[in-house]
Amino acid sequence: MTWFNAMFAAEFKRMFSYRVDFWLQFFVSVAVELMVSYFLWEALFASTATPGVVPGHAPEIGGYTFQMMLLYVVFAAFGGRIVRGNERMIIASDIYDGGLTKYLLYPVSYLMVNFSRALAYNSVTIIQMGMGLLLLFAFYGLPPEYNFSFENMLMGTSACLVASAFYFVMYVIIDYIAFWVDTIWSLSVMFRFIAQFLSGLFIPLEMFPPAVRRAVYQTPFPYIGSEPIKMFLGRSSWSQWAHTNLTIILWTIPLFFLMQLVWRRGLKNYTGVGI
Amino acid sequence: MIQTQNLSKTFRVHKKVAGLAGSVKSLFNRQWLDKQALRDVTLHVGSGEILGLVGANGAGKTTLVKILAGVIHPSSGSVSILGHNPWSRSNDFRRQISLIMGQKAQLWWDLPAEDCFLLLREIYQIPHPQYKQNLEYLVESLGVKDQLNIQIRRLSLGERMKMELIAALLHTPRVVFFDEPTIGLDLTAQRAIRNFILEYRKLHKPAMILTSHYMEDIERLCPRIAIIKDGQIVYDGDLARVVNTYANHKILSVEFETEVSPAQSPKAFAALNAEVIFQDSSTVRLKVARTAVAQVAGQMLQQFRVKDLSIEEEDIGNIIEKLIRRDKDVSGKIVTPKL
Repeated sequence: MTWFNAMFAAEFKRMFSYRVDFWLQFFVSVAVELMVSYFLWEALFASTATPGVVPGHAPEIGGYTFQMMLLYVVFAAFGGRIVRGNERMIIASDIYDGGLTKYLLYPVSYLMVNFSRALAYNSVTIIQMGMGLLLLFAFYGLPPEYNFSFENMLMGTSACLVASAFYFVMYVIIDYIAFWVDTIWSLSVMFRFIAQFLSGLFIPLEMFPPAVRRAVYQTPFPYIGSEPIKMFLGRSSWSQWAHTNLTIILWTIPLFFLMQLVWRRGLKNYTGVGI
Repeated sequence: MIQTQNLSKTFRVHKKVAGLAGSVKSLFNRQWLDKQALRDVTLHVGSGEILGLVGANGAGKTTLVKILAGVIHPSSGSVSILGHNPWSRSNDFRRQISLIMGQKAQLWWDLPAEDCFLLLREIYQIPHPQYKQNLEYLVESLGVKDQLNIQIRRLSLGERMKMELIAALLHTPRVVFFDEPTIGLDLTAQRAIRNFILEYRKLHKPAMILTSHYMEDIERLCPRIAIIKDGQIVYDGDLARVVNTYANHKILSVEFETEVSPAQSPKAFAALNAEVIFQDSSTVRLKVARTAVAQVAGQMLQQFRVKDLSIEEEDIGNIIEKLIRRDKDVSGKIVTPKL
């Protein structure tokens, strides 16, 4: 499938051709997110943390010390970026302004075009995140209770990539709603918020009440956030990795067919505005 | 090559009452309107033929082109292009067609033209030697060699349109749809693109459908036209036949050797049974009945000292506009011109 590679390369080139955006995207969005989380957790730990299990040890919230919580936030920010990929509603705007027309004319699958774009975006994100992690660890070091290992990184990154396929399918379905309504911005923002909250990208799921946590684990969301983060943190095993990925794949398959159905129905509504 | 049978398309559009109250009301109770964009369109375009699709804004030209290219679904009727149903969008079909839209960029704005063409080579799976040969020919013909490495968004409108043409024809399509390919271009660029289309047609003999509001495009490129009005084809045939039937007048342009006094001329021209459409001290343009052209020209030569005299057909745009304006009959049925 050489056009797929060419499309991937084109998107890759496009992202690197905007150097300012390339760096801002990383430093501004991630740095701001991390700073807000730092001050928030610092205040929370100062007021509500319980003393450590072992006398003399650091206080904890939800089983996390302040240092480990910060590490959780770092991996949530980095892993979340890989999972969420490009959330610019490209498909919805293609439908809205008629940009889809050219892809209907080309002998390629529009879905695969977008998948290649998403993969390119994710590749750049992984490069950025890898650089960011190295810088962060070099400057601030690692919590004493954390053992860094490449195995954990590999486990977490691969789980994030599998999760990104699920998130991609979900996101595409929401974008396809643009075939029926003019704007899906609020729907998209709502989905992002719910997905991030239920997946533990905002706060660890360990802090949810047990009943709520059990309910959340009946959905696919913990497997696209909380579980991969645990892998980064070294709190997971290869069997949990396999379970996480299998769960996500089993959720993705029916959603994929739903996505195809929505696409076929939606195309009948497409009017190719703008030409 | 292109065959349509009783093609119809109805759009359902949201009807909104103006003003804030209308906006609030539409949140709870939305009114919909069925707009018939095409009615029973039957057409045939053969290999090497260029059909000019002519009509007012909103007549249904672009809708027809979009249906033929497989971009939108019709409400009823059938289409066969190279034996394919366009809406099945098979890759085999899509490799043989092209749609060039003057009002919509299809290339990737952030990439240089050459990168876009390389991407299209992969998309259309064009063998490398054929790609090289086609690209060289197209770039040479359109004179854009120096712009190949510039980002598309940094090109002028004319240059961009030429790049769009190259992109659309790189894979040597057998069916080409042009939707206003010269819109917004200066005269030189318009002429270059027209010449190119003619040359391309001679070389590859594709079936082509062209829509344009520029009558020069139609005159230069399309020996056959289809006039579309309110979604219905009201005329399908030779352009020359339209001119002969509907152009009741010709334009006589005369340049005088000496100045003609304003006091004297109106009387003299009125006697010629001609309508003055432009006049200054040394030139006059007259609208003359076709049957009286020779007689009026002779009288002019006798009565004035004439430096130059030319006879032109009435502007084709005016003729077609007249035809389009021929309205409905008393029963409300659209009148189909009988030629």
